Amino acid sequence: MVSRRQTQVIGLVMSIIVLVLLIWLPHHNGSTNTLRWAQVLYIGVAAMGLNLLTGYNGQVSIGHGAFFGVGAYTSALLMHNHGWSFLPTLLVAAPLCFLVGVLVGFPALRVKGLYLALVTLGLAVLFPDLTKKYVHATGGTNLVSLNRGELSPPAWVPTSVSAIGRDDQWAYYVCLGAAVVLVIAALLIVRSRFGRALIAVRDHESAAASVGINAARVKVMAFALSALYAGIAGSCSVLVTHLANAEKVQTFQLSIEFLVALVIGGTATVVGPLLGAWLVVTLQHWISDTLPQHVGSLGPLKRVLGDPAASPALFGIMLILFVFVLPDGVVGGFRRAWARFVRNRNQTPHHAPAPLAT
Amino acid sequence: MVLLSVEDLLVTFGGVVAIADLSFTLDEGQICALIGPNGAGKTTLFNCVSRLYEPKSGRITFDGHELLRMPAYRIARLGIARTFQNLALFPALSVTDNVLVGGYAQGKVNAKRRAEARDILERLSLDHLADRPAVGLPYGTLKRIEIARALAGRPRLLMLDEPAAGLTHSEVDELSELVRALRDEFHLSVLLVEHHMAMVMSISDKVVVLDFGGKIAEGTPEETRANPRVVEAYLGAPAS
Repeated sequence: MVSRRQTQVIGLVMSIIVLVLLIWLPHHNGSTNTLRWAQVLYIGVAAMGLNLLTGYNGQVSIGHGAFFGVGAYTSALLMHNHGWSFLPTLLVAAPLCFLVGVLVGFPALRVKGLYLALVTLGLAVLFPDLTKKYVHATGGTNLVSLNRGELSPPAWVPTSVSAIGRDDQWAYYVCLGAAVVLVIAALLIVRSRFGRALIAVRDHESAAASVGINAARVKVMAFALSALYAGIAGSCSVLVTHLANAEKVQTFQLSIEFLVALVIGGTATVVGPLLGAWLVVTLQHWISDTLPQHVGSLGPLKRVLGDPAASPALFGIMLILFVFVLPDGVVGGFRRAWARFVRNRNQTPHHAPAPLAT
Repeated sequence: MVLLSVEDLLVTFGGVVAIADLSFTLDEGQICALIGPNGAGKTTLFNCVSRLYEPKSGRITFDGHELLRMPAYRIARLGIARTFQNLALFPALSVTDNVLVGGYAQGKVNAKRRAEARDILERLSLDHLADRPAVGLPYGTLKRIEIARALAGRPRLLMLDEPAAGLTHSEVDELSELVRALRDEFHLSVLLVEHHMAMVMSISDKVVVLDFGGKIAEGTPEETRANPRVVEAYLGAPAS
C-alpha cells in the first residue's frame, strides 16, 4: 500500500538527492556547463514566479521579462555605478520588483485572459524603451556591462574548491541558493491559506468572494509575488551573464521562455517550472550548438539548420509536440503514471458512493 | 427576532426589471423558502445578498448591518454562507481544502479549524473523500460538499440555491431531513430557493412567492398553497 505519507517521503528523499547532486555539480563540470546550470536555475525561479500568477491564480502574463529586467538592472546598476557587492542589491531589487508587481497588478484587475496577456505583452515592449530613456551606459546603449572586479564575490567566500573559477562558482551557488529558498517559499505559499485563496479565485471568483476572499487583493498579491520571483531571477542572471540587457527581442524572448518552461514542466506544480527550465535551456543548447555539429555531412540540411531562425522554429515545433503529448507538462504526466502505479499496487476498489450520491 | 430584512429592493438589468420593490423578512432560526416560476428573481435576490449584483435601490439589512454598503468579500464575515445553483466548487482543491476555504473568513487555519472541517465532513458523511480532489465526484456528492463548505464559514444564515435540483426522490427526502437537522445542530436560519414543492412545503416555516420580480404571496406553507394568486402564477389563470 502506497499512502499519501509515503509519497511525501519519496518526494522529500528525491529532492534531497537532487539538491546534493546540484551542490556537487561544479566539482564535476567545467565553467560553461556550470553556468548553463546556473541559467537553468534562474530561469526556473522566474518560471516558478510566473507559476504563482498563471498556474495557481489563472492570470496569464507574457511580460515577465520586464520584471526580470527590473531585477537585473537594479542589481547591475547598483554594482556598476555604486560599487555595491551583489547580495545587498537583492535587498533593493526584491522589494522594488514586488512594488512594480503591485503597480502592474492593479490595472490588471480590469482585464482577464487573452486581454491580460496582451496588456502584459505591452509591458515587455515598454520596458526596453524605459531603460533606453533612463540608462546611459558606455556607447550610448542601455546595456550595463560589468567587469570582473565589480562581479567578484565578497571576501568571506572561500577560494575555489572545484576546477572552475571562484567567480563562476559564486555565481552558480548564488543561483542555487536563491532557487532553494524560493522553492521552499513556493511550497509554503501554495499550501497556506493564501495559496488556497489563489486557487479558489482562479477556479471560481464569485464563490471565492462568497466565502470571504478579497479577490482583488489576492490577485494583486499574486502579481507582486510573481514579480518578486522574476526580479530575483533577473538579479541572479547578472552574475552569470555579466550584464543587464533589455533589447526588445531579449525581453520578449525571456517572457516566452518562462511561459514555455512553465507549460512544459507543468502548471500549478512546484517543481514543474524548474524541470521545464532545464528542458528549455537544454533543448535550446542542443538545437543551436549540438545539432548543427552532427548534421555537417548532410549538406542542404545544414544550410537550413544553420539559419538563425532555425533554432526558434525547431523550439516552437518541440513546444507544440509537448502540448499535444503531455498537455499537463512533465510533472502532470509523471503524476498520472504514478497514480496508475499506486492504484495497481493498492488493488483496493474505490469506496462505495456515499448515501446521497447518485 | 428579524435576522435578514429586505426592503423595497429594485434590481434592473438594462431596463429589464428583475426584482421590483421586494420586501420580506427572515426571523432567526426560520427556514424561509423563496419560490416562483423560472425568472421570478429568486437567484437574483441571492446574488444581491451576496453582493454579486448591485441593486438599483432598496435596503438589505442583516443583524443590523447594511449589506449594500459593503463589498462581497465582507458578507461571509457577518455570518452569511451560500451554495450556488450551478455548482461552484474549487475542483483542483481536495474536499478538505474546499471546506477549509469555506472557513476563510474565520482567519488563520490551525488545528482547531482542521478539526472543525473534519467534523463537518463527518456530519455530512463525506469523511472518506477528504483527500480526494473535488473534480470527478458524483453530482449529489458535490452538492453536499458545497453545503459542507458553507457550514465551515460558521454561518448564522445559510442560503441554499436549488439544493434538490438533479437529485433523485430518495435523495431529496434525505436532503430535507438534513436541512432541518443542520438548522437545529448549527443554529442556522435558512433561506431556500427551491422548485421541489414537496421539499419546500415539508420543511419551510415561511414561504415567499415571487413572480416577475415581485412578491405575490407570503405566509406559512398552508397559506401560500391556498392563495389563488400563487395557483395562478404556477398554473395560469382559469379560463373564464
